Amino acid sequence: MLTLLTIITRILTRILECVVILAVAMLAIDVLWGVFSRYVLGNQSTWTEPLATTLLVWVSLLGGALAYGDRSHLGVDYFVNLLDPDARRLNRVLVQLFVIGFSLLVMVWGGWCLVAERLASGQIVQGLFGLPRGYVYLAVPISGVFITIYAVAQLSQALKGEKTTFDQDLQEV
Amino acid sequence: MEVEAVLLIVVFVTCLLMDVPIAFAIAVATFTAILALGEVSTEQQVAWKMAEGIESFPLLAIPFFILAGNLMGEGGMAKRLMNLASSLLGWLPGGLAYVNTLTCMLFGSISGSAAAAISSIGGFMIPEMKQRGYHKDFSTALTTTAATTGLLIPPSNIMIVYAAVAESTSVAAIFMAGVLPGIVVGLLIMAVCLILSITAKYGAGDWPGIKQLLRDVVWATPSLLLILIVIGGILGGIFSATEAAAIAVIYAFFIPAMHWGLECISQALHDKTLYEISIIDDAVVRSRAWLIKMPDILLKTGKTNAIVMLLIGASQAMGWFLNFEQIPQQISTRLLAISDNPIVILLIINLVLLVVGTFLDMTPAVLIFTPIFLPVVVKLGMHPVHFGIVMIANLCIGLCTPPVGTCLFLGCSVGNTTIARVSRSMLPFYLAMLIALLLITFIPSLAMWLPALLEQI
Repeated sequence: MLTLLTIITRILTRILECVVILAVAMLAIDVLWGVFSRYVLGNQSTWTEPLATTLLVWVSLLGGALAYGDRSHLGVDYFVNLLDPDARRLNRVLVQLFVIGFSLLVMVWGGWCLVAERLASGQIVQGLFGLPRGYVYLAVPISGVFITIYAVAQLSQALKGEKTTFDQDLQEV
Repeated sequence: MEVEAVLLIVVFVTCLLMDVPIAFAIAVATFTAILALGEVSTEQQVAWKMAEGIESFPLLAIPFFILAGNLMGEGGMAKRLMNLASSLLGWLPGGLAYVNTLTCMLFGSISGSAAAAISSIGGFMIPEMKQRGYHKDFSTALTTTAATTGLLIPPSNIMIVYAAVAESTSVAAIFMAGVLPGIVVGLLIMAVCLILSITAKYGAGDWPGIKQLLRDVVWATPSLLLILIVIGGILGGIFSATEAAAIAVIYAFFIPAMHWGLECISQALHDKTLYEISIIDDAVVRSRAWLIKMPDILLKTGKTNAIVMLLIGASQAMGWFLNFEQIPQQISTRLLAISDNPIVILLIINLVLLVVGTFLDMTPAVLIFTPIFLPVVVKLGMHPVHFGIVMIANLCIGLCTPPVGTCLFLGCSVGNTTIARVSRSMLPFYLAMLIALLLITFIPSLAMWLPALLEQI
């Protein structure tokens, strides 16, 4: 049965995937352009490096949310697998609550304060057409929102005791 | 030790035991510890350190090497390297075992990923070896261990990760430092193969003839040239490690085109007639098939990269806390109180890392333990580059051991066998890796000679 939550997460996943694919391709083209402009055009464009690091922050944080969605982050599942199924389920619930708390408090709230502060201070990214530095860090709260949504979806699965992972859901589509 | 530091450890270990993703475990533990410190706006501090830790141009080499590795895996490079290794070593007694090792070294070097080496090479070699009478568990154990040599032979992502957290370590220097240790591990693995092949009476293949050997060299050239471009470019100061990685991406993207070109030429030479099928049609079909794989490859790269980057970001936040509390200095004082004999200290550190390596994956282990142990060994006069190589060689063993061994698990699934059955075959290889680790630890020039020669240190 499709709940509203799974529909939302599926749509978000598709969007995130497209963004990550484009951003990784842009990263490669950007750095190659830097090399090309240095050796072929004679002087390196100043914007390639700051654009690359900005893109890296965005790709990593958005990709990190995606990886959370399909549970591919590294973890140590050895000890949890020693537990009996009920305890394991309780543990899953606790872990998701933990992650929700962390991403709301640190990534969304802390990240948002960080963005607001940097925007107010008027800092810019050197060499990137005056892009305010706050926009680099905007990736943190946005990623935090996505991670929270994925964690809530996984929490509801754990509560219902479903065995299917979100990943398997996706493949059914 | 201060209460905040104890809190850090307790929260981190609890999170690990609960299977919280390690990146989050590190971040949560750091957050709690800084909170206990009574810092104002802790949330913002941790968020900032995480983002700032990722915002670095040298780290960009990581997604590029991952992308290049994925492109190579899909682009049919493993097979060409295997053919070359097979012509070089396949005719020796127990030849396929050496072929497997050499292919892993070459492929692992170029792709910088042990996992990619296991799935690309193991997928071909383990069934092939089984057909020629090699025991499946032996081939699986061999592929699993041999694949880790790629982490020591440059270019290697884990070295970039190390350089990001270790002071005064250049990527170029640590790349060069890994070459000889990587070869030593490879040779010791081959020595194990030699002994086992004699006792198990594994047969030899046929000498392929000089003509076949030359043909295989030509076919492997596009792949081998890549190592030359990346390493040569970095050492020659032509481009930075990040740029070299980006060049590797575009090069790997065109490798199928190079293979296609070679195919056309060999066809034309062989038939002595004009290529019959329309070359353009063929090119269109093949490039379409190749391009259609790109979104998946890019997405996979984005995710793998993010997993590493979040770990790095979280570790940078933790590193900031550790330094603020002067934890490494305290540990260093305590360790040096046990003994000031470098050999004893290095043995203790290696022992700790071996235990850690059985539970933690390599990237988090490097990120967590480098800031803690590096100040200790530097005090003993060890060069950070040398320690990086020791650490990587050490944690390679952990990748092949239960209960948590990424390479072992992958090897078993590729080789279609179980951990219990492979474990016995692993024993001689563990021994080889341990001997290699001791050699690398206690003969500094093994790591330091090449970078010093090339004036990278």
